[in-house]
Amino acid sequence: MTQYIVRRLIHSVIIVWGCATIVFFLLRAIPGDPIIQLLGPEYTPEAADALRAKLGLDENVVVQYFRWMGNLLRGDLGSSITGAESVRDAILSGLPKTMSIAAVAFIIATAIAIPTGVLAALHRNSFLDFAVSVVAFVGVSMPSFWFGIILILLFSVQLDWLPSLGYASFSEDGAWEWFSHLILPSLAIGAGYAAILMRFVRAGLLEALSSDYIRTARAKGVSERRVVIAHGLRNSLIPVVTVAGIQVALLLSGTVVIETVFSIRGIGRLLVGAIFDKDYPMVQGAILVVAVIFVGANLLVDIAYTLIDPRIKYD
Amino acid sequence: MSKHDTIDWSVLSGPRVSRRTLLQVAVASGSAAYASQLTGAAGAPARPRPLASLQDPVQGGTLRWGFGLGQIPTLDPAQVNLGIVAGELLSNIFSRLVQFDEELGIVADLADEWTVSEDGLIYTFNLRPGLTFHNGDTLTANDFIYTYERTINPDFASPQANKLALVTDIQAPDETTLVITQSAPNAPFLAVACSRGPGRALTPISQRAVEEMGDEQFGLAPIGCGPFMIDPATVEVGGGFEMNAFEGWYGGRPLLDKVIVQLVAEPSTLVSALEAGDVDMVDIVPLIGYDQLAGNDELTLVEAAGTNWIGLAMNQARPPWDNVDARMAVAKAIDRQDLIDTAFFGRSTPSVGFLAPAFGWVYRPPEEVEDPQAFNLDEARALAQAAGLDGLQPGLIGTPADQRVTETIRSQLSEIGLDVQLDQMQTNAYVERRTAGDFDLTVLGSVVDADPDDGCWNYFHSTGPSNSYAYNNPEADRLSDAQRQSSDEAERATLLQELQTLISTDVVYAFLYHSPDVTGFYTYVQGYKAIPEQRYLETVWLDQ
Amino acid sequence: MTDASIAVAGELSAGAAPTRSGQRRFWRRLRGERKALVGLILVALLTLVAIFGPLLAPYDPEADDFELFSPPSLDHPFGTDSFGRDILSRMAAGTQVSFTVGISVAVLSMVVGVTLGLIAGYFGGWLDSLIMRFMDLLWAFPEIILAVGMVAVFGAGIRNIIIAVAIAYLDDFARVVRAEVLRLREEEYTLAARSMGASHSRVMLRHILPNTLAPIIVQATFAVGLGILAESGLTFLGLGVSPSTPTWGLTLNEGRDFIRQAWWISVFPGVAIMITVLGLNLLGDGLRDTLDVRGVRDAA
Repeated sequence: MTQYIVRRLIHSVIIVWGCATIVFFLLRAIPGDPIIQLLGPEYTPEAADALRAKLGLDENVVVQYFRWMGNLLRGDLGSSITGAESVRDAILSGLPKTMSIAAVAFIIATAIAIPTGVLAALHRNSFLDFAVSVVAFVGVSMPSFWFGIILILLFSVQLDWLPSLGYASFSEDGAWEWFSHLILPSLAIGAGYAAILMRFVRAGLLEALSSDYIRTARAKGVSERRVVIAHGLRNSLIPVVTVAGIQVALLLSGTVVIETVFSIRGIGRLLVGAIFDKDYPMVQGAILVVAVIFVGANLLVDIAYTLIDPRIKYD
Repeated sequence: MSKHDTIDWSVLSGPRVSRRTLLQVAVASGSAAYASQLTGAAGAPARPRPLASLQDPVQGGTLRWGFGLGQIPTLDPAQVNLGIVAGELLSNIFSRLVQFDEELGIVADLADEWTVSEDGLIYTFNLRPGLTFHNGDTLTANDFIYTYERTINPDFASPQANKLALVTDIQAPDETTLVITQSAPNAPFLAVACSRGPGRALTPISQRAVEEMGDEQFGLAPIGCGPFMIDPATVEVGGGFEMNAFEGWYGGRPLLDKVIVQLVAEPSTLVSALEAGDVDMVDIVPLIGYDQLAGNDELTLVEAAGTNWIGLAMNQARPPWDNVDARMAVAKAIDRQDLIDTAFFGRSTPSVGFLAPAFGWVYRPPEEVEDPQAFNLDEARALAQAAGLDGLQPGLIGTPADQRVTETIRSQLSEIGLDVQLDQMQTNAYVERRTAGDFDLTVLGSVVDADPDDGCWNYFHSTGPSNSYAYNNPEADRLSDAQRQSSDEAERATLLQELQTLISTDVVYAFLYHSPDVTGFYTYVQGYKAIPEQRYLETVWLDQ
Repeated sequence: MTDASIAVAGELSAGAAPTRSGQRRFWRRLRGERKALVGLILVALLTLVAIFGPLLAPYDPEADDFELFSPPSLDHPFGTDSFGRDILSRMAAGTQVSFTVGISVAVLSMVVGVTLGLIAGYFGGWLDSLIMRFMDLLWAFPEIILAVGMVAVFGAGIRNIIIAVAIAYLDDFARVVRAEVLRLREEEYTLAARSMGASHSRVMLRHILPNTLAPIIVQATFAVGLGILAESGLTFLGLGVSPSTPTWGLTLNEGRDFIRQAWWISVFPGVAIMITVLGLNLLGDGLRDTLDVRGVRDAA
């Protein structure tokens, strides 16, 4: 087990390093540089050269790469080219937002998925089952930004119940302000995940209900309600946990678009904006963080999986 | 240079310089960007004062201000290159030597009076006593010397450094006296380098603050000297920031307690935010939301005439656009009123040239102007036929921001057999392609400065910095230079109008429209002072 | 790109083997054929629209001489947009484009992904490691970010969008095929063919590939839907196809600014995207059940 974890850990580090390296060189392979936009339309070649030198962009790419790697190992991600901000600060301010959206989306998705999944499984092949799964498919087939816009229209502009944009800090603005700003964006991306999770819950529960130990429990005269809740549901949640790692990736992808709809500058919008502006250090830093979260989450899930499900053994 | 000898530059001295005086000097001295600041509406200049209100202003309250930008990379004045950040945000954080009134006349700010030597080379500013920065440090003439040295330092690479190119000497004989010497008369100097808003090059910077904070931190939350001070804990580059009233401002405490600047990149989200009451005011009303917001009687929209012109540039380095008939075919195929009705729901002025509606002394409405590019589909088709345009697929490059215009142009030009290919990209990529001359067509214009000279000399003179399409007509050069050197407003207007007709005839651009400057807020927001392109918020208060 | 995608955890991570039994448990379930039927009907109808769209359109999709913002009426069943164009006509034209994008994405990522998966699984060893580590890299990027990055590098436009999205999804094909190949490689008929002197390419193409078709087909069905969603997402971010091309994503996006005064501009294309992806997902799901395919990356 320890050996497995060490091997996976090394593997994960290599993937993250590979991502960072490819991004570094890919960015510099893009024609053009950020200088023109920085200096404005009336720039002079001299000013452009001076700025390039100041930003260290005039050096050999390999030299730049090793300097960046060296700084990275010391925990220094550098500064934004287009602004005064340090990459670390930008990420630290973006991360809580993205994570909050993802977390609330996950909670919303779970709250929808478990009851509907159970209902669908218990009434397997009924019209209810059919209807629930069609609704679930509708959920994943909607573009999330479109759903987000419709939510704003309904809950902010028409009903005036929830804020239409922005993010509120949990520690400064309080729990309700924080949560109320997250409901709509989280719902917009959570709808799709609810559908995915629902299918896992349904399938897991069906599998569990047909298993030997449930049959044994039933034979012992345990009530059906207790069978479902105590045995079936618990076992059906194992697969739900196992897909959590992938959920992180999906929720991260989802936030990229939804952060734009709701004017929240989380990691996703930070990254997209930096790509547009060719803000090299910011793109590199943000990609690194995304890759670490993504790879790390999957590592954790795979390890957790062995702990939850004793049937699985790693060699 | 003899011309300068005849001008008495000391008329630029003041605690106040009227627009007309400024204009005469600017024009006489052949300076452009300067006069740009002066050419607002006519009328007697007055001290800035709040819009009339039935009630007395009330102190207190928080203004939530929606701002249509995705991020503000820096607030260090010497590094800001976006006019909107300078005119609307920096102007509230920093006071300068001088500021504007509602007619764009120049009035006292940190300097309560100043003199300009008769030869126009030496500016002597007298600072108000007892000025302080937001951190409590005293603000003296020495701070301007530090600022000057910081701005022109090549390692600092300030995009504003060129505004100080003529400065040869800067001295502080005592704490409240600043003497700046230049190598040649430079009429735009006050407006371009020293004014509250546009004047970023000489915005007083506290040396102690910069040294303590470092350039980076200073750029995020600068220590200013204006009516509002940034709360550093609230600064988010892509989110916005909060500004609190500065008790120690020389003009007295501003009426608002706090201004929350909330960045909203998406125009539709900005409109929703105002309608939903999530913000009290927006910086600029997106035209897509104008009708909707105008129909809401809880809101006030304030519209000012535009100082800009927008046209369709055709790359003359590429055939067939080197042929004036080809360009004229395109120009005559564009129905400007229909373009404005479709793209902006009627919210713009059709453009017959580079002279914008804000310049009352030279602007003539389309119906009074002989327009070589007047919409005429039959003539356009004949010209297109002759120039062999039928079936061509020129590329029109643009950004998502001008999609409504480019889509409409594409549709209109299909009438003369052009199958325009829209090539849309993000701003950075767009600027690169345009700078490199890698395009057939693009929508372009002068959007920043306020003087007709700035919108013509740079663009149409053979040596103009924005003339990237290699337009070279000696007659245009002559007229561009002559209007700069003319000291008589009427004569200058004639020259400019003549130049406008020439430029239209040569179809350097197919001229399209002039857009208005519109801001919007709830009716309880009172005291807004309409200074074109500026938002000075110290007079604003909330009637709640 | 509404992220309407999920993979079975074990399949994507390095420790693939241990979770195979888990996958069986979750994916063995056959679904009622009703869903597949509904999916098939939807996809067939939309295919007809894609083929005959231009004939069905009442007007020229480019004609902008109608009144701006007309609500749905008999003349304009889906209303007109902010330029005064007939939305039904634009959507009919857009069906073709959206299908082209979706199918091209699926075909491209299938061809490249299947080839890589075949080679990796069949030859194993360092070649397998190299290819699959590269697939791991692709996987570690959220798809939309990968696509945004590539469009930023190569420029927008329909061809680049197809390439970008196809690359973002090709690792799914490679993984699915590789897993199948690993299983088939040791089957008797494969071994027999090799022992009879068949070349590697012949064994791969004649003996192994046909047996991996089922998961490929299912994966491809989902990929078409993912491609259509990805196009609308990229268009939303301002990286989409040229505004000269009336895709559903573009029409939806152009209506976004006017959704309060003219809901129909955005709502109809949004519904069209939803119905199409729904049809493809239902069909793919049904196919998966019928073909008893496991471990295929799911669109729902």
